[in-house]
Amino acid sequence: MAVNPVYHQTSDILQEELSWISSAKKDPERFGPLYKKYHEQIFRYVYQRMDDQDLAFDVTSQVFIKAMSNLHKFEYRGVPFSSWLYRIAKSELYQAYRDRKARKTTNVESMHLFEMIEEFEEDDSSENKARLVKCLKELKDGDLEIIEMRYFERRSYREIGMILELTENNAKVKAFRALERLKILFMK
Amino acid sequence: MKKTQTIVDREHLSSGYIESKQNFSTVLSRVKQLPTATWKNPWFYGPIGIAVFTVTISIVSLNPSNASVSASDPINQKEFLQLLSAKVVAPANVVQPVEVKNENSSASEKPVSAEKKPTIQHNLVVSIQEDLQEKQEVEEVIEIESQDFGIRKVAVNNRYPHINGFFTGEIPLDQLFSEKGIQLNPKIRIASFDFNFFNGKSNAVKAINGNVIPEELHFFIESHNLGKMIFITNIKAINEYNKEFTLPSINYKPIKGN
Repeated sequence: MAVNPVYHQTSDILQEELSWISSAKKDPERFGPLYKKYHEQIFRYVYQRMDDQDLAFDVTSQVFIKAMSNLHKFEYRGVPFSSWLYRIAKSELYQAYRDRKARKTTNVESMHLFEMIEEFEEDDSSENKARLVKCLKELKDGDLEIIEMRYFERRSYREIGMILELTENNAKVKAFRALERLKILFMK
Repeated sequence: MKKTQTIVDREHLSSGYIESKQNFSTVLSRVKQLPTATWKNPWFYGPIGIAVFTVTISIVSLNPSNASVSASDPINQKEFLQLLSAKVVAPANVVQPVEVKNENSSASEKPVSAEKKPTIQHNLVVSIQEDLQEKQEVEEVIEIESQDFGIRKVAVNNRYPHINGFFTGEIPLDQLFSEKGIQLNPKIRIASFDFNFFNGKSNAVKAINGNVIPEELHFFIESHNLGKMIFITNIKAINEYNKEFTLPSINYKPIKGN
């Protein structure tokens, strides 16, 4: 599975990031490098979950506005700055679903679906693909969220754990159970 | 609940396209436009701050609870809260004269003279909190006599419930069941109270109207409660303005005798 290079950072990069954060706390204009580093990542996270591209850009901007105005509250606790941004993004997403009538969306690639069907030891036919899409709609939000992160966004368990505020092992267990539930729905 | 829609194979956005949409200056300007909290604004500490400070000071200075306590004031709940925290200097039946502070006494007032100070045994002295004491004026004293226990003095504006001058501790049975009952001072009437005692089997509570412990309880007290603690709780009193309030509880150890 691919590893997100922006998320998995060396200690030197983390130290550099911390120095950006501390200077941005004093002067908001110094937030620039952080914005540049994480904009795409946050946008992709948001756009993955909504169908309106403009709205996704708008929500992404809102995430950074919130982050900058609350930067004084940020405390480094050994996890990358992006996990804090993801949490803001998640809250802004739900706000958009509520206030801006944005539609909850799951974006999947056929390739990912076929991989999943193969894991269920079934034929990778277009009927099975359609069946799997139907099953995904029937999944609970929590299960869909973790499957989306693990199988469609290709995130590591560590990364999922940090975004969802779980331990790596817990994320692994939850992902496994969610996949089991999806398999049961699919096999019905 | 709104259902999640699933989109398969949506057009992939390139990193270059997403980067072209970055606009940090807009984000920065929107952050700067965010309204700051009122209390964070420097002007808040100008006219508003002065106004708030002035209003606070005036409220504090006009607060009636800051007014000095006069001994002649009618008793109220607030005073009782203070009295509850008062220190009992000496327990019952301790040989001690009545302490009267007389800081601002004048010739026209009626001080307790040295020769009048009781040297008789079994006086009870309760001193109220120091600050309250300083504010109190010299109190007129009522003398209550009993054969064995001598003379007990109770201030006219006394604020503790008592039975015939017994505030707590040992009390002879006859005194406990005295017709005078629970008293405080002439301005305050006891309306009701709860009497907690041991009835031979278990602890019992009897709600009593009025201020006298009924004679029917005499048997129980004499048979099962001599030398044991009995409690008088939930004492409801009514002041001269017909305002009802609760007095602090009292307890006694009944003993034989008059």
